Amino acid sequence: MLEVQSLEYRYPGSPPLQFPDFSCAAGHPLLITGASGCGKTTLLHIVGGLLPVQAGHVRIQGLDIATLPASQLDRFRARQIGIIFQRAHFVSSLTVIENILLAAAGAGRKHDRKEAETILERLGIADLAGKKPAAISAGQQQRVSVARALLNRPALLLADEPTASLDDVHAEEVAALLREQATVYQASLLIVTHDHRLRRYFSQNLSLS
Amino acid sequence: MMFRIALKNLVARPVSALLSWLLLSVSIGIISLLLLLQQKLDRSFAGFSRVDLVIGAKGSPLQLILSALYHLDAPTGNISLKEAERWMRHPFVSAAAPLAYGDNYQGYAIVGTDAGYLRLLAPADSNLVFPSGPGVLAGAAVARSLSLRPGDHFLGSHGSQEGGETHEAFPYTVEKILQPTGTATDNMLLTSIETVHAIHEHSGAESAHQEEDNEKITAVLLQLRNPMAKLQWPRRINEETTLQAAVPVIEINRLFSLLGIGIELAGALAFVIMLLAATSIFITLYQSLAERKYELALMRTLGFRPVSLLFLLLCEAMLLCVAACITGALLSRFLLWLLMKQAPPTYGAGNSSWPPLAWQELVLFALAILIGVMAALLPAIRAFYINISKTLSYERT
Repeated sequence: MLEVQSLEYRYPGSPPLQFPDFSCAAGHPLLITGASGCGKTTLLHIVGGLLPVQAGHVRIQGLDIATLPASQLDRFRARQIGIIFQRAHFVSSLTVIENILLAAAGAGRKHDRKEAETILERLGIADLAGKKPAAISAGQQQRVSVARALLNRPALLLADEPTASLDDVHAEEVAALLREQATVYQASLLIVTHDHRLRRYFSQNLSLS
Repeated sequence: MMFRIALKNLVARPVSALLSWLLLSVSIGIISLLLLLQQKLDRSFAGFSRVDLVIGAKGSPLQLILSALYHLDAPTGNISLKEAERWMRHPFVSAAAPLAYGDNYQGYAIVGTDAGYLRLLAPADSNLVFPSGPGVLAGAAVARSLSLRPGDHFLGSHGSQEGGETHEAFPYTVEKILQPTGTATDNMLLTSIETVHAIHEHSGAESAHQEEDNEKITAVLLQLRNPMAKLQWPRRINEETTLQAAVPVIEINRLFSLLGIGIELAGALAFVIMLLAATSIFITLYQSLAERKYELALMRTLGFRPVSLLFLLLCEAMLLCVAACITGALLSRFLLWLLMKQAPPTYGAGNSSWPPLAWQELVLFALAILIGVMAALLPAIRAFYINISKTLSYERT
């Protein structure tokens, strides 16, 4: 469960961005849309603990993340939040499965290769396990990002423009995958996007202006 | 985990890693080689520490030392045993060894001497009974390379070079193999003065009518018990007799001061190469930061702490340095082996043994790793302070 209340953020030298209150429960994915520059990514980064909460409250599973010191916030993010970015980023020298296991290492958990393989299998990309990220297609890379975000069974899944660099077929696939896996893992799912194609798949919709 | 990622990162960018690794290996190899040579010289020098004075025929004092102790030069000439004995039997002398050169066996010098030699230059064997007649004590390296065993017989050939006239009538007998000393003794065959003289009286016309009381020897090694004698004898002998006296410490130091410039230059060059290596590590890491900032920011979102990223970059530099230390040490030993193969067998500074790590080398390795870490520090600090949100934002760039 994610709750956002009277959240504001001000970049130095710019007017403050004010975000509407909203909440997002497991099983009810929320799509946040808006034009470029309206602060979608900023909102996502604040919720994900990548930017500090300057004013207002962000509660995840009832915990106000502003109260966590930096090191605990990093650990909390690693264990409770899975993030999928517009462009899938990987440690390029590691294979797909090693990149997925990196999420376990970052969370300070024991590496469980079996678990990672199971997720890859469920996402239909088990055959990519030994490949380098650079050797697979953009759609496949985004699937691997989803797999990595799911590894630690997070309470919250955040997706920042997950389909922006994909064609219609792959965009639809990734959208379906996100919704389906959020349900399987009982995770709250928040997607920020300007991609209108996604509105068809998500009923809860919040527009930033 | 960080260690494994660091290793994979290096392997994934082999070209730039290769340059740093090569430069560092070469610089470590050169410095390590200089250290090993220094160590060898020190060791062989220490082997002569009991010899305070060398007496021989007039000529160059350095030549006398090089010929009598190192077998690196031709002897200065012959001196009369009778005249030399005046000094050898002096009460100020605590040990003396006459040296009579003449023959060789397959290039290895056969030297006539007596039990004093063992006391001065082979202390581990100083309680051996010195052989008489055709008996020979074989140096450790000669015995090994010619597979000599006690009881073996061999024929000497005349002169100090291989291929001289063979003394068919006088076979030598190996009595004992000496312990390794790390000095020229390892490459020598020791026999008694009488044997050397006997062989030449009977074989050569040139010494057939040599009188008993006018026996010649090549040089004398002396250990002095009297400190005043150490100071005064060289001058006294050089001025008052037809003999020449030379002090090993003085001559070898003189030689080193001549070679020193070259050694220092090589060392300085190697340090410059090491700094180049450090620069190369710095540039490699710094440049790779531009393309790697996304994956570093990503690792932060996955829960890795800033200090983990710092450690990751330092780890990459350190891995390179450790690899270069290993290859550098191997390189120096290979170069040393090549050098020793080129050197004449009589050079003999315990040349066949694989030198162990010197403590100076450990200091060198520590220094190399430190320089590598310093080179990696700035890129690592930039990784430490990476702004995750800015790096992973697309709205604001």
